[in-house]
Amino acid sequence: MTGLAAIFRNELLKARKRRAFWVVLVIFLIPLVGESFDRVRGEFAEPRLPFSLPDDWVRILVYPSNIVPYFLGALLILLFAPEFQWRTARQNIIDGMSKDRFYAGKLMVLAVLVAVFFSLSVAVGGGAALFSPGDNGPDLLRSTDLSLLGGFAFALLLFGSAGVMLAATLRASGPAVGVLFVYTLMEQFVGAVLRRFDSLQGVSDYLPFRTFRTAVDPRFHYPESLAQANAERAQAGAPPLEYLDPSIVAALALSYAALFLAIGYLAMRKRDL
Amino acid sequence: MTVIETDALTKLYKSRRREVLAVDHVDLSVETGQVFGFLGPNGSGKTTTIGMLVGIVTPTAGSFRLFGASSPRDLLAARSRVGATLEMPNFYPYLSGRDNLRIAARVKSVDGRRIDECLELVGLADRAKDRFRAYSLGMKQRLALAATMLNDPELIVLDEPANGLDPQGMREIRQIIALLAERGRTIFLSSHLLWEVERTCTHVAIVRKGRIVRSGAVSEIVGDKVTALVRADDDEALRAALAEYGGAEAVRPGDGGALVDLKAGDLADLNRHLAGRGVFVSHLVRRKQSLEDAFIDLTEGDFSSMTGIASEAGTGQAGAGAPSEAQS
Repeated sequence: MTGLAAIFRNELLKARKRRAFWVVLVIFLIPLVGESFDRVRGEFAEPRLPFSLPDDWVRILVYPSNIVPYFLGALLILLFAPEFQWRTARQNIIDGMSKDRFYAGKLMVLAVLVAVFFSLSVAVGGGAALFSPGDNGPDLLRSTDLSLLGGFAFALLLFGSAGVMLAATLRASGPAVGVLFVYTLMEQFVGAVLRRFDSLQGVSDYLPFRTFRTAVDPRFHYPESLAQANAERAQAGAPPLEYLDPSIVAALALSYAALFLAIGYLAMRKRDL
Repeated sequence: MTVIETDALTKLYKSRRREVLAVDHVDLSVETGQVFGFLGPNGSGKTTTIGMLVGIVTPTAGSFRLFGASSPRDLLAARSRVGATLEMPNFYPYLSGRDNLRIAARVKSVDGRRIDECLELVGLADRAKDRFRAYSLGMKQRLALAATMLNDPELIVLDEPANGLDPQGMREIRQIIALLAERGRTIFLSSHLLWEVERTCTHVAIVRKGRIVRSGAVSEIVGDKVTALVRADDDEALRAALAEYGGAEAVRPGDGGALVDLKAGDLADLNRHLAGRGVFVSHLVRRKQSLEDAFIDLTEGDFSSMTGIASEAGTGQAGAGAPSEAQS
């Protein structure tokens, strides 16, 4: 039976030599590095506006948490789906790998990429803030910052799992990437429709994309941001923002990720190659 | 020892609009050391049958054994004794030939040193660093053979290995198959090229619309029947003389003359008989039955696409594989 270490080394070789992997990584890194560089430069130009921790975690994570999950979902699709078009998934099974192990290899890629995208986002943004001239606070990470970082990790896991599921079920990268993006748009539309009906208003909070939006929303993690936003809304005559309990959002994100991965597994297991 | 054994193996594809019985109660038995040809036209269920054997297609009904194993767990272990490639060679196009074999070697838990040996064997050592997508079709087929041989399998399953190859490429593949057969490997080869199977295989199963219509040793299926093609200026006299000939099993018109199935295969006797009746032939040719002839007999001639391919390929081989025709 093919060992998990061998499967991991194979996945590493496949990703490392795939141009799409490096292109997506560079596209992700350019704005991240550019933004951090800009902030450090801004602090040099205007020392009264420091770029420091822990106050700037929200600014640091705005770009990664809103955009990077899409990159991750698309990248997983690009790495996984072509295995069906090239029929290499089929060949791996013919060569003696079980379907379970083949899928396990993709889950390893998911775990590694979630870790890579999370670490790079935090390291580049946080590192730039650490080494910028402004003084950092005594605590680099408050519980609210940790909560935001956790939300970001959940968001990555959610989109990554969706990418794995779409690749395994649709087996073609173009349609899978298309469905990923079209779904996010559709859910926003469906959510808007649901919110028009009193009895269905709360339902939209439980949808997958909404769960992602909540998980990376600073107002969900920082009470002072929520208070400020609600004060502005009160002035404008709008109802206050309300969020689900954090434990429910975490459970939802994990449940959706588990559901997506289970659907992908069943598609891999049941369908002929 | 029986390497492959199937029992009423069946695959039914269902969709909303229709059902397709791709494989219909197939019973096969392949013994150690055989070069077994699985012969049938495109769409006859060959690849689906192989797909079930190698674990990528789930049977709808029936069962099979590989090296005596039938449970999913045992089959997974049995498959480590198999090297197989289906249809076109399946590799990562952006990786080099060597990297592709590296991946296959890890999947098969094979020492990386085997990669060089296999590349050498199929003549790809010089091009190992080139990307797979840059390979010619012949090179891709040879790389597939190299991957197949990585784990030094006891059973080699090849699906249409000569597909799309030029005569030179076909010869190379045939030579490698012959070499593997010499080394005592069991080879299960699917093809729609009749002459290729006849030249390469010791045993054959002929499949039609998902069903096995005949299986056995190639020599049994081809038989030793000799047919003579006779032409003469006076057709009527020829027909009358042939009707009186006792050495004929059957006489029928064909190829601008008469085709005579001979009981004893003695053309001189036939010639003597005709001359004795005052019929002097302008053309007398011995035709030994080929697998193609047997195949058409078995399948009522509904494989025009196959025989066309066979003839074309035979022409490409300068008659090497075409039905034999010898001037008597």
